[in-house]
Amino acid sequence: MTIWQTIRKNPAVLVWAVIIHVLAFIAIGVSFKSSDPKISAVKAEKVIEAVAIDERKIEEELKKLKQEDKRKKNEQKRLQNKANKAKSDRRKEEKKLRALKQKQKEQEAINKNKRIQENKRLAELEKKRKVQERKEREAEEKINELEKQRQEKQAQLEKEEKQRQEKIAEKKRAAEQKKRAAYEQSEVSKYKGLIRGQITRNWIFPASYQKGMKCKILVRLIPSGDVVSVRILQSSGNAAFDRSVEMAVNKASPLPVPKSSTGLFDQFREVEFVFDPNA
Amino acid sequence: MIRYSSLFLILWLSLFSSAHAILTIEITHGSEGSQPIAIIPFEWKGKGTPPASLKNIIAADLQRSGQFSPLPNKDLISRPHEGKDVKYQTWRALNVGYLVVGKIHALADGSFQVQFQLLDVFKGRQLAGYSIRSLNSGLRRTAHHISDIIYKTITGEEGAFNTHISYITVTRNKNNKKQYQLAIADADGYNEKIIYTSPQPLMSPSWSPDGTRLAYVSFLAGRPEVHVQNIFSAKKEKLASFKGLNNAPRWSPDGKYLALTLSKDGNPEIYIMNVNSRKLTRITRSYAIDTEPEWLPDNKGLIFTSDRGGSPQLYEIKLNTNRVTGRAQRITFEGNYNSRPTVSFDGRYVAMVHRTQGQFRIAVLERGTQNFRVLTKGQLDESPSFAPNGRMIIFATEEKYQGILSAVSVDGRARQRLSIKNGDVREPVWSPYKVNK
Repeated sequence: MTIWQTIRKNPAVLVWAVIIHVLAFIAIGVSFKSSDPKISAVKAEKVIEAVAIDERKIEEELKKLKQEDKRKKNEQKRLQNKANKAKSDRRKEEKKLRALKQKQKEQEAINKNKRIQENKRLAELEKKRKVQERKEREAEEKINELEKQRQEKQAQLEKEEKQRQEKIAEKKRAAEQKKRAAYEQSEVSKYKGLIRGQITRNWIFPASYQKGMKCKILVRLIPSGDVVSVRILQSSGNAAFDRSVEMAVNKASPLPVPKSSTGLFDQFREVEFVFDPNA
Repeated sequence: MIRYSSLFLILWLSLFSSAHAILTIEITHGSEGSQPIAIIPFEWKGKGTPPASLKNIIAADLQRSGQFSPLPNKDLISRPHEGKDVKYQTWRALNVGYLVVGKIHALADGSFQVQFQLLDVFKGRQLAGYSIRSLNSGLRRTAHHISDIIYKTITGEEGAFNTHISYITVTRNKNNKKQYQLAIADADGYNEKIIYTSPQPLMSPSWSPDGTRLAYVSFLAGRPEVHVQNIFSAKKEKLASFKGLNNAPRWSPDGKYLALTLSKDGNPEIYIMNVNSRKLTRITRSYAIDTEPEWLPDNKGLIFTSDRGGSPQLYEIKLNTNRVTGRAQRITFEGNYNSRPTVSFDGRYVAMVHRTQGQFRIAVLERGTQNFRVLTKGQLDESPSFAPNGRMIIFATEEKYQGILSAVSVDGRARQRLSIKNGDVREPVWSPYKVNK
């Protein structure tokens, strides 16, 4: 049991303890005074002097002390009474508080009950609402589903129609393309032939030509047919042969190419030439 | 699903086709023409007039090769002397692929510093550029040297302009007596030097492969003998003077042997003589005339003329060093007269005298393909001899009853008469590369 627990259980103890301590301090305070050596020498002289002069004063002092003691006892009694009263008051108060608490508890129980009831009612309502909602939703979904089916059917029909149209267009396009491709091919091969002739006329075999020499170059042309660059893709291994090839192309420039307006020139922007006398 | 896959197919096809969209054109033939080249007269930096026109010498060299056609002077639209001054655009317009420019600086000591550049007109770039020191007497050689550089750069083959020829001339001396001379000249016929003069006929000169000696047939002793003469020291020696004919000497490619025709055993037969030991090896044995031997590269065999088949034709016989390793095989089948073979250094071509419609002309046989081609148009073309690069053949022909020399390119494209100053000229032989006169 700790001190605090003791105090809480019996507050009078505290009062007593306070009083005792006060008294003890007073006593010690006196002895402290006398124990101071410096001061005590002077005071001692005075005390001796006093003792010698007035005996009556001690009498008075004693009386005073007695009175004081009596007063203190009364005071103590009064305090005791006061403490007792406070104690009893507090007990009453506590009792009152307990009653209040009890009442509060009961009230809470009632409230809780009420709340449960209310919640139950709300849950019921929510449930009903949800059911309603679901029903509505289902109805809506059904409508949507029907609409969707209708749309799909529509789309299917449209798609089929579109495909049919596309097929027709495709056929037409293919026929046109075939015609165009045939035309392009004949034009392209015509120009290929013209270019071949022009380069052949300008190509002079170098004296160091040996069987098996072959050179591949990439030539870039502009719409005028002018050669803008010649790049060797595959060297013959013979500088003179390679040079003769480059020279042939440069000398043959400008090469005959289809007009830009035909749309065929793009095929001639870059032309690869294979110079291969053995082919 | 089907639609997607077909879409994919289309995409794939378009990718495929775009990746291969580049047009490819195959060129399998070239033209028979020759390369136009503009040679600008060299700038002369000295007093008076230049001792030689380098431009003319180079142009003639290149023209003679058949590979080039130098522009005539009137077509030279501008006359720059340095690459940096050339306006390529103007030359491109003329469709000239190559341009040669240069300068001749006369130096205080009488020599010259010749500077030249070969330019690629279409690329606007220098292909070759040299500065060559030349003696006054050497200016022609310097020009030939430049021709060789140009030729090598453009054709990829060694040029043979800076080489020599040897031949026999027949002149009359001040007593109006015939005299026979062995001469050496530059490959274009200039700078002739007579190295031997004889009152009796001289025939069949042949260069040693190191270019230091000439073997020839001399009739000084009243019958044909084979002599050898050092062209620098003029030292002469008799190599073959057997009974009967000692004819048609030909030096082997390694210089160790001489093939020749001897009739010491009765009938003209081909022999090989070791030049050092003079030891003879008989090569042919037939009742017909076998003569005019010519070596194949690396001493691998001989080609000679024989009438064993009834008319003169060329035969080939294989050799291992100087031993016969097989029977002689006939190699010419065109016409009824083929003689006097000459073989290109690589053994690819055999040129010969070929008779067609009663005319003697120079023809060439490509040994690998058996391709036969008549190169000349004369009436009496004879004694063909290959240039050391195998691209040209020099031969003798007749003009106004006088023997003259001509050169023809092996493809027959170019024919040019060589200028020889005097007399009746016969039996030219082209030197190897290594001649230092």
